Order: sequence, then structure tokens, then C-alpha cells
Amino acid sequence: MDIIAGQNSLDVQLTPIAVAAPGTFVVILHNLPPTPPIPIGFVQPGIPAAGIPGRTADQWTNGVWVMPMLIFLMRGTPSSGAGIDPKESIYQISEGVQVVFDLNVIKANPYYNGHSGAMGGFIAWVAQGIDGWYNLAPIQSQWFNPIDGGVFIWDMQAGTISKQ
Amino acid sequence: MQIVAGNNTLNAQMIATVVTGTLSGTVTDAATGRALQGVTVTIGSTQVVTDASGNYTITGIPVGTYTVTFVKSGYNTLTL
Repeated sequence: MDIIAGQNSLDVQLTPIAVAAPGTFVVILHNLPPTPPIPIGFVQPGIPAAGIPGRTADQWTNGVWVMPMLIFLMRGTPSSGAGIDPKESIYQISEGVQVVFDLNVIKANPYYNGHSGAMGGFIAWVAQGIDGWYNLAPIQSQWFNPIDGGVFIWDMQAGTISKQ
Repeated sequence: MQIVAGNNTLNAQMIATVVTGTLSGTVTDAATGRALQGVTVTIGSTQVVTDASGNYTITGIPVGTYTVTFVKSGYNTLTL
């Protein structure tokens, strides 16, 4: 670069080196939205929860957000995402966290749609209800096929996912 | 100076001035946007390391064209 007399400015970004072990793939979550993408009134008591018939917000724990961001790996599960066991398929995440998925575990899940060969996931704002976890609204969804493994950077606000 | 009749002598000494510039900026993680501390920034024979805010400043660089490199373990080296 050319240095001129006086002040010169150069801001740069470095790309992390991430390595996916054999049989795994890694998703790096980036550019997470700072706030829930749905009206806050959605979680006020008495308001039906969209996508969850019969549920109202007052059945959730005080109608508040209890987990800011989670990632689901859909594995062919019902599209609403409601009722997925968080111990198995929900990962608490935050900006820059690298989530490692084991392809063998995914394939062994009975919900995995092995016919399509595609896997998908989404980030959701989730509330803990009286009998489980409820997906309030997915804010992004990306479908891709990581069957060969690798490292993927998922830009949540841009809505893009790219293999590193 | 005053010029008198006959020969007048004037010896002058020139002092060379090197024009320099300052290079500064911020280094962040491309995946997270977070500031990166401890990145080694090299331009010419000068090296500095970014601070906790990812900032660096190199002063006294003679005007010219340089290669600038950014190196940190766990990241791809960037050369500009």
C-alpha cells in the first residue's frame, strides 16, 4: 500500500482458521441480530402463540425470553420446531461461537431425513414453557448440505452461509 | 547578506528532511467482528502489536509503497 505524508488508515479483518474433524462439520455464527425480530407484544399474557395452537404466552415462564439465541438442527423434524428436546438438538450460541456437529449422530437421529441428504437449521428466539421449550419465531433459516463436512460461516443478518 | 565590491562567498548547508506518514487502524475477526488483540502488524522493518481494542499505530514511516502484513495465530495471514 502507499504511505503518504500525514495520516494513513487501514482497518482489516482476519479470517479465523477453523478445522472440522473427520465426520463433523462446524458452523460459525456471525452477525446475530441484537433483538428479537418479532413484536414484543407477542409474548404478553393471553396472546396466542403463533405456530403453537392452544398455547398462550402466559403459559410460558413469565412470558419472558429465557434463552436469547439457540440453533436447531432440523434433521427433518416438523417445521414448527416446537417440542424438540433441547438436550439433543438445540445449542445455546452467541456471536462467534463455533458449533460442531457430528454427522454420525445426526444420521442416527430418527428424525433425520436421509433421503434428501440435506440438513438445515435456524436460529430462533426461544422461551421455556411449563412443559418444554418453544420456538417463538425463527429469524433465519439456511438449508445446506454439509454431508462432506467442513466449516461454514453463517451470517445471520445477511442471510448467507458460506463454506470456508 | 550584503554584497560588497569584489568577491563575495556564501557557503550553504542543506539538511535533508524525510517526509513520513503514520499508519493506524483496527483489526477485527472476520467471523465475529470482534476486535483482535495481539495481531502483529508489519510494515517495512517496523512491527507493532494490536492492543485490547484491536488498534495499532505505526509512526515515522517514510513515504512510499509498502507491503503490510497482519499475523495472528489461529488466523489466516493477511498481506496487503
